[in-house]
Amino acid sequence: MHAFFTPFGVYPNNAIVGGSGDIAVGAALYKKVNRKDGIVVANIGDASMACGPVWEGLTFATMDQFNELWEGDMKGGLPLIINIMNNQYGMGGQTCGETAGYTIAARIGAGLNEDQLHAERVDGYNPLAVIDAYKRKRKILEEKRGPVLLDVLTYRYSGHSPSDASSYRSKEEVEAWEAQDSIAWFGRELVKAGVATEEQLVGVKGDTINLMESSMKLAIDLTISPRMDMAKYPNLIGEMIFGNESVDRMEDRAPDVNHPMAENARVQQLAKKERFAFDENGKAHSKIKTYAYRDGIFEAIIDRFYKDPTLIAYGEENRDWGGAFAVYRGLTEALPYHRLFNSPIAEAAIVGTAIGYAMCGGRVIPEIMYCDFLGRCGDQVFNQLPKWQAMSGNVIKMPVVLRVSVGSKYGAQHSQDWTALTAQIPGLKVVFPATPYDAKGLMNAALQGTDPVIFFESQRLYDMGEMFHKGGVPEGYYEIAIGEPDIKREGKDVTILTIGATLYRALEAADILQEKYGMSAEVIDARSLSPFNYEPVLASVKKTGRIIISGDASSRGSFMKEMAQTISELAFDDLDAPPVVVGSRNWITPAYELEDSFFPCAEWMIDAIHEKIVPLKGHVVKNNFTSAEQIRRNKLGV
Amino acid sequence: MAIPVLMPRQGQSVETCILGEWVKKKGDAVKVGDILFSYETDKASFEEDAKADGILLDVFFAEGDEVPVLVNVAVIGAAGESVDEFRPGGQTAASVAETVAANEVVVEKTIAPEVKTVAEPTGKVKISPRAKNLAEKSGIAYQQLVGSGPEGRIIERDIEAASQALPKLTPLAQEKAKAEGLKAGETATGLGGKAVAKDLISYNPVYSDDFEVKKLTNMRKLIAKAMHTSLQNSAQLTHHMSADARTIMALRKKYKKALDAGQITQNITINDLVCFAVIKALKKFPQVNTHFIGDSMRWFKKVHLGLAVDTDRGLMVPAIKNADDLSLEGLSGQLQSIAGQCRKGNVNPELLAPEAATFTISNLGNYGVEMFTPVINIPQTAILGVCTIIPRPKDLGDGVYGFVPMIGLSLTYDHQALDGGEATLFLREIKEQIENLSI
Repeated sequence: MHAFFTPFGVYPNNAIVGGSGDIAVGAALYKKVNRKDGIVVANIGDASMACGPVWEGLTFATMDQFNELWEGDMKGGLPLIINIMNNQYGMGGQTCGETAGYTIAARIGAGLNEDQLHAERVDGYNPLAVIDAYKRKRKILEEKRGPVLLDVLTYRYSGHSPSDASSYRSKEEVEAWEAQDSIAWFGRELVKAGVATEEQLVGVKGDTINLMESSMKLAIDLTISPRMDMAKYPNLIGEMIFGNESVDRMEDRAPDVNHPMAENARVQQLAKKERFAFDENGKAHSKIKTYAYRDGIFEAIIDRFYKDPTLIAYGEENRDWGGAFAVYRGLTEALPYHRLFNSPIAEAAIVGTAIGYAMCGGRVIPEIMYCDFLGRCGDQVFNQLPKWQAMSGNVIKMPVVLRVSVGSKYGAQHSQDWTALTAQIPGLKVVFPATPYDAKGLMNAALQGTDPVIFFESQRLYDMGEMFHKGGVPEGYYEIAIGEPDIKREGKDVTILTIGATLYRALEAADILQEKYGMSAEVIDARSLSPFNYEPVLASVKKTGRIIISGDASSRGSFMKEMAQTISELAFDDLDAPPVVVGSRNWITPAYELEDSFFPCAEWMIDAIHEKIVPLKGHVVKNNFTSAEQIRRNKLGV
Repeated sequence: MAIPVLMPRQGQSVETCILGEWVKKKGDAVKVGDILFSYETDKASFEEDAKADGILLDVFFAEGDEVPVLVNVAVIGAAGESVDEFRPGGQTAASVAETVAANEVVVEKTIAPEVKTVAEPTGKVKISPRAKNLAEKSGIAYQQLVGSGPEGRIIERDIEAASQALPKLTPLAQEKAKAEGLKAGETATGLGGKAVAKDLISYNPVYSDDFEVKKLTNMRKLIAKAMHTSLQNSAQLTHHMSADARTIMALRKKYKKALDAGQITQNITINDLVCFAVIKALKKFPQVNTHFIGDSMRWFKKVHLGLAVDTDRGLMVPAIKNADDLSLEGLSGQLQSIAGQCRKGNVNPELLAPEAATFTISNLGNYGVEMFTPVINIPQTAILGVCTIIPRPKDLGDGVYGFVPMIGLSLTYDHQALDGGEATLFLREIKEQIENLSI
């Protein structure tokens, strides 16, 4: 089902209905942006036209900016044919008359752009009609007036799967279609026109059957097509999950840029900034003068834009505005439209097209403005982005760095840390830097690789200067290995492992522990979630015997819990108390003014240490970290 | 009063013994010398007998238990007496013990204020894995600790506190360290990480542990104390002189002949003759036949002569009362008899007290010592060292020189009591007596 052959341009079939609807758009985008010849055909079912991501892909594919804003040879539509194999059924549902309302699938085009996608319904039982239609559509694509839509009428004789007894349709219906069967009819037409004889057709049919049968036999013959030897190579699948490659640029040619990097206003501005947060007296530089977290991300990205001609970036408000959090400020001036543009508010398309773009050989940075929107691109992030490298036997590469910004201050649907959702999925690398130095180094590493990386950022951090790395954030290029936690402060009595922005609250807690209770806390910044090297953490726990894990995610099912469990297993004999998770409450995120009762803070960490790890002399708790309360909350599911 | 029965210590290196068999059972009446139980080390088997009469009130270990030496294993006393104070791990400070017996884990009651213990563990003990590891490594019986962690969990700091309160040495090692001034070294090979006796080191970089430490006998301790006290509390100096020994050698020869002929029964020795001469000299110098006791002196009317006797157990100085009343043969008989008693160990202890004698003679002549500085047996004021007889050249008159046997005399006196002149005159008197001795 997932057979593919990229030299012929054949990409794998998707097991998710409509799963490639947006991926195909990305593939067309790749051809366009990188000036590759040819067209992209998205073979898609009539029922998949109901899928959100397919619609989002079509919306993306028909953006006005291709004609209105993209310049020069980039002006014009995508070379994409949406080829609806209209076989009347989606599983057991009949599109026409039951599960859809379009009656004629070609009418979908009318809702998408002025050209109505040049949509046509074609007799799919007539090969000549199909050939003619493709000739017409190809011309349109060559004139950069794509994409186009074909509603190719056909019929599905068999069921959706072996368990499908076709109980939803009548025998007469199937027989009526069989009476019109394309192969039989076209054969008769060929004989009638004197192109072939009956005997020849019988011969062709026999040859075809033989070919298919022998191909199948070869495929199922274990001596010719042996299965993977998992006994001999137990890690073989594991080795295909990631490529772990280091590639400067996906193609060797000059990148399209508007001016040399040195002339970029933002780059020039950054040169004047203080790359360490404090002056020689330990006093913090003013915010406006401080090189911040967002600058670290920017530097890594602009550097790659000038290195890798295939690199493009897009998402909501990425151009002109400079991104919602000003990470891309300055990029608009540096890059032509086709390398940095605004996408529709369609996260599935943002990620889905990036997958298609990367599968074809380009490097891409899609952006999800708020982590809360990950759900909008669930299939793309969970089923597509992580899977295709391993599903292709690691032939296909997936150099996608998906930037995801974790919010705060914006309530229940804009302040959630969903890092665990991505870290739980095999095939994704997940990082969450908390300092400018780490942000730049990890972004460099992410962009140097060819594996999909979910790059979490936090809106609490964009203004932060570098407080840890001596000498500040280096101006030059450097990478921080994905998966390596970093000890931000050494200590000996308790370890605090943080994910993301809680690092700073942990340092605050460490100060209080030192001053009020004489305990020295070791603060470790996880920096990455997956992969993750536990060794530095275990070494720390060996020393301290105690650990709390903190992050802004709701604690239930969080990655903090994963870490706590792993540490329990690996450091059991060193532990003086169970690893304790100090995450957010299992509630909706309340309004900004009430956030103190939702997100972990220094006080919570100290209360948790006191209650669960080591009672602190004279400490009076303000928050309930007792076991009884934990049980009660779990009973209630809050 | 009840007394404990200890697991005896068998040798310097034995830390624990295996209790073999209880010959007496709890409640049995025992008499001194009755065998109580057998026990064994890795090298041999032994039996421990009762050191007191009474009832075997309680036994603390079962047959087959491994018991640290010097730990109470039983109590003998009168019926009804309490044995709790002797129970290992109880209130008795001396009975620190640990044992590997299955259900008999014992800890010392700690005195560190931060460590709380409960008499009986209640329910399942809550302890963190880290604390448990540390407890096992440091030999802390955590079951009886009160945890300071959440919900009473025993955590690392509780074990650390308990470990600081517990001795780092086994009972034997403690005793050895105290006796020999040793310390626990880097390695501790004993049960629960405690240093055992062989782990103790002296920290001497030169000879390291290339020696064997033997405890002083009580005898030796007494001598050591007496000698040290003597030198510290008196102003001693020694004069040396020698006397022509021809007279006493001739006398000795004469008496020997008489003894061999059966005319006398007593073997008169040179030493007897010298003592006899000294007694005579003392009669002329009563200021030497004295005790110096700080602000006054005891002037004795009679001569009670002390004689230094070398025995297997060490130096003894018995006194011969009223020696000036004795004839030469009588003196000789008494000297021989009392020396024999010293060597046998049945001498009357009163005669050994320094105060018993008024003057002491120490004769090393038999060993060839030519000169020495004997130490006064205070409060006596002087002591005479008698040395060997050596032929020395002497003016025999008329320009004739010959070799004459001379006996060395070393008089140590307390300058607090006597002046040099007096001492010299006394020594000269001894010389005169020896050279002109006539019986």
